[in-house]
Amino acid sequence: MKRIAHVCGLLFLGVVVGLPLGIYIVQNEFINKEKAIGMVIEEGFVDDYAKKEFVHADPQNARAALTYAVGAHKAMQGRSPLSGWREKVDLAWCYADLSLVEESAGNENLAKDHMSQAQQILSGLGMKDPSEFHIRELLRRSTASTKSSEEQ
Amino acid sequence: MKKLLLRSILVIVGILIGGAVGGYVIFHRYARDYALVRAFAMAGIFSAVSKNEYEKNTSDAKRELIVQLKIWTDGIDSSATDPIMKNALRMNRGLHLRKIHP
Repeated sequence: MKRIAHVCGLLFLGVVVGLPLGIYIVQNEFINKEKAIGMVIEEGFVDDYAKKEFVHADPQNARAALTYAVGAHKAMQGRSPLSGWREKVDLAWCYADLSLVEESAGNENLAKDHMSQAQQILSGLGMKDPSEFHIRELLRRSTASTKSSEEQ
Repeated sequence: MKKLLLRSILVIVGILIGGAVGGYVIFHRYARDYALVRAFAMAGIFSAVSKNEYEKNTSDAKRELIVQLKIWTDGIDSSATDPIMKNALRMNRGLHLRKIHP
């Protein structure tokens, strides 16, 4: 009886040590990496859809998709190892696109809020001219290039 | 000496059991809470493999693309998927189907 208790005690000791070790390894070596890849792809996917909707179809769908993309960006921040400079730039452009959508829907206040968010992020990232005029100009060029590349 | 060895083996077996249980539990929770993110990661991997196979001009490219489309179809059929994401999946599935059946 004493021997069985001794064996169980040693096994239990091993389990107590192994449990956090297993959690740590699976979390860091597998889950975090897969989650980071999945979140980046998910955001890119819905962002691409929003651009297509904005250019060719329904701005309301574009708004919903951009809001989803902003949410995905926020979920990534601080958690995903792939969340860096590029993702922040992408978030700024999501806000800028969203601002145009809101403006076309007549929501001036929301449009201003989104544009100021975009400006804040872009100036924080070191953009030389984060003025509204410059952002609008860049958006216009990017929309035109999206259209021409899709027509080809 | 033999006793010490047996004790060490018992502790190591315990560590392995604990590690397996811990890993399984955390992975199970992740798979349950982040099903969509997992699906996107898988679809992304299949997409990258498919493009690579296509560039090598092998017949596997189509198979990988079909797996990717199957993952998207499952996302469209799932009630847990956001309606706007369903639309995005539908659009992309349509565009990719053109690659298989031009």
